[in-house]
Amino acid sequence: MPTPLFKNVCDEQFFSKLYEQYSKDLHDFIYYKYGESFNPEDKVHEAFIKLWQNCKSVAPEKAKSFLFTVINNITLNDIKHQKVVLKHQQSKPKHYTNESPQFLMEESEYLEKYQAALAKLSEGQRVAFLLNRVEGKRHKEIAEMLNISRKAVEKRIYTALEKLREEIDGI
Amino acid sequence: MLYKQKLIMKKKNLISKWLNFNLSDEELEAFNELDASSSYHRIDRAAKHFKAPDFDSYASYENLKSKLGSQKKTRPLYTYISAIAAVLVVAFGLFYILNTAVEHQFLAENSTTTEFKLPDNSEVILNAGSDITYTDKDWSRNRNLKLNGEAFFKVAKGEKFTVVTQEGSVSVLGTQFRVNDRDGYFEVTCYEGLVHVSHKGKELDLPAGNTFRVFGNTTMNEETALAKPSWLENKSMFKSMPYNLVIAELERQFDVKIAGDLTDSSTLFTGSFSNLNLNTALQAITIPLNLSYTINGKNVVFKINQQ
Repeated sequence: MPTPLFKNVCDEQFFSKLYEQYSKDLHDFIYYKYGESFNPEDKVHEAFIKLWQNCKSVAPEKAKSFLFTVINNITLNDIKHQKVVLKHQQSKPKHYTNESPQFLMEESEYLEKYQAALAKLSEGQRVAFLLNRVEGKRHKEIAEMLNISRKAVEKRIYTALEKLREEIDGI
Repeated sequence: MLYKQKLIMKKKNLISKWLNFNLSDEELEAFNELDASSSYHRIDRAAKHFKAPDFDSYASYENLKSKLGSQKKTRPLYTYISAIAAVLVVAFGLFYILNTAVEHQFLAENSTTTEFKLPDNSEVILNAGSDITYTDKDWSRNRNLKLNGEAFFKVAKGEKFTVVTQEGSVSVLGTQFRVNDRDGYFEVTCYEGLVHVSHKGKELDLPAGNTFRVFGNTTMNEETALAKPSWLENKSMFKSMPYNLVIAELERQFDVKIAGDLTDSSTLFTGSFSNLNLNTALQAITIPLNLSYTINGKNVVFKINQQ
């Protein structure tokens, strides 16, 4: 099996390992940042195709940042004044006896407000916030994905949280 | 004023720590005493409703491979031959030469591969348990070989180059391809250029990035994104391959004999194993079929797992 000496982006085995390692995060990154209308999976493929085409000039340890930069640029090229929609999943009716119909309706209203508030956040705030809250990623990890400082990530998530609270609670 | 600012800073820090999953028990208590904490908790809980759709990276990769397969690859992954195009992979075939020209035979025993050059500098790599025979008389005008087993060829441009196997023959003018002919299984993969395949009276042209396979009554014609056979990198890969052929390949790669509870040979196996480690290879082909194995020198026995 390939030893470190032969770690090479042009090697199919290493390339597929890169895919295994980063494809989901790349997909989620585009989804959380730009919503689903830009076909995140397609963008993941395009980024990897670009990587493959340039495999001779990308060092193995640079592959991750290459991918995140490229996929962001590809998506930006694609965006033309479209409204970002992050669909919230309707919670399925549970069989709890202690949840009144009122609670369920209220929950659904809550989520509507939440969705609207998310769309109002800046892209940077939204993607940092969702990667942190939904995917459970630490600030440091997010900083690497977005190529910004840890402090900047901290600030974005905190700001996002406060904005959401204000919008949803109507304060 | 300073005190108030300090308090706000403290609150911010606490919240940031909570966001980063970094609170001590004491700090968590302090967090929960904040006015807005129930709001924060609810926002946190509800966030999961906005989770991105599930991403199956394996399926997605298969998808990517077919997109890459149709890409025109200008960079040769193989650094052997520069000016030359074709590589032939020859399947099994026994080729008996009738004239008195010198007959050469090369073979790869189990658990080895063998490489050699033909008189015109075409290169051949034989996979384990395969052999090739040819005569060098008039080679530049009459390039014919017989193959038993599996090989990968890089054919120098020139006159028609033909590989004959028991199941069929393959000819090229300058391409890279692989032929695999084992026990009633015939497969040709073209990596570059165009290959002409003749099988049981049926003729077809196979372009680069395609594989033609026949076993039993099944004929398949599908795309491949690989640029060379996986066994050149010590890995055996299979797609919908009859299980008995997978076992046979493992036997050849490791020079062992497998017996015991072998699954119904019509089971089709998709997967791969490393040619470098017998245990991991055996696991790769037994676990998916709920089998276990024991090794006894050069013999391996399979058993169905009792549930």
